[in-house]
Amino acid sequence: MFAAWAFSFGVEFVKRQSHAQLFPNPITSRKNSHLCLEENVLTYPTQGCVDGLRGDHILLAPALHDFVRGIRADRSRAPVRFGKSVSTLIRCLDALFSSLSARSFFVENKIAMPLRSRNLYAFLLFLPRSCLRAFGSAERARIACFSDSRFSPPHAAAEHQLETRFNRNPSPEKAREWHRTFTAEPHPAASDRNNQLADFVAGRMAQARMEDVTLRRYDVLHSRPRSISLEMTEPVRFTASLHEEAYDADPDTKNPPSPAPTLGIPLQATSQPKSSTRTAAIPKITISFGKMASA
Amino acid sequence: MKGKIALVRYSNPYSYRGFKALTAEREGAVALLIYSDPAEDGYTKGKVFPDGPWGPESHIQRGAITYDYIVPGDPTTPGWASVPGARHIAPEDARSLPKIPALPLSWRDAKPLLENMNGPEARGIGRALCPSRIASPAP
Repeated sequence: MFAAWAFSFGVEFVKRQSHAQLFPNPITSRKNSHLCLEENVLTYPTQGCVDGLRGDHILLAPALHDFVRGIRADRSRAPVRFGKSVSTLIRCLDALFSSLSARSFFVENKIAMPLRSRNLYAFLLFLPRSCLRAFGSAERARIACFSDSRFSPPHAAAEHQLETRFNRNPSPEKAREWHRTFTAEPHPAASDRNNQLADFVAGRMAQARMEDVTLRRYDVLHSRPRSISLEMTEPVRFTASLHEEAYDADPDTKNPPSPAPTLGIPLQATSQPKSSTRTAAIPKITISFGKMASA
Repeated sequence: MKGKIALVRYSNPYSYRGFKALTAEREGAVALLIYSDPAEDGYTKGKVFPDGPWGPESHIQRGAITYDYIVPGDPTTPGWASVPGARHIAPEDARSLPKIPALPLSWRDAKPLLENMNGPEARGIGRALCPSRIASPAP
């Protein structure tokens, strides 16, 4: 019944349980993310979760396959066995919290509030129960909601009602129309199209009378190559087209070609416009399916 | 992997391309090519666009390889917002700046590369050395 599961674990760092009580110096992602990375847990960027600027928040995404083992999709309350990913998660959080207790953090933030691992474990004791409850009512509520200790059947019912209302709102036609608008042209960060779309979305939000619609400007470092090419010189000569075919069914595919799509370009490749060609002398190409292999 | 170009699939089930990029970088690869394999989202799965929902041979999956699991957003403002006037650290000190280029490929563009490769896990097509070149000409 369930095609996919997602499990992210959010931790927000606040002095008190109120956004008015944020630490003046954000602690997330400066040195903590790599701690999680060492445990093979990816973290999600969630800074600015309060207003786009303030907010100190980290989402941990441990491997799920081993977490959901034992959870059934039917209504029976099958016992949940927590596997390796949970212990990984605990280690990860422990690393995070240990880094919090680093002296520098308290000095920077001018506070004296030692956080100890034991607080964390007390917190985690709560986790399995809330997970169980959430998964138990997943079919009815279809949401796993972790908020303080207030997750209860009445809350689940209220949440379900609200979601049903939201789910009734969008129509397939409308979804198609929005999708068409957003995907008509590539709109990487800092492109004209990106700004057009931002204006468009802000306009629609204001039209819908959402409060305080503001477009905020960010001066971000961004590399945009002037051109990209990929060539194989031996054993046969081949130049990749880096181009997609056009189709009558989607007229936007016939729009004038934009620069070839890229995933990421290192800064030095764009900051040295004088070098005519950056050529890597590569002895061999290696193909790998699932794991890195060398030829 | 040292000094080589890594050619990898997007992979299904999903695994974040940005983590592939960091892995390739850590393993010493000089560039990363990620291609869409028909076995994952193309004709092997069913009818391709416009006759069906799956990707045609020339489709290119776009995205970013941001190392946002290390530093979200601007790599030179770790932990604070890149608003006008914000302090920026030197690019050399930025942990999340990619060191190697990464490029998405369609199956149509990846096929000739695969057909001309050797290596232990290539698809049984043994050939001699296969030098490749990543070029970005100046304006």
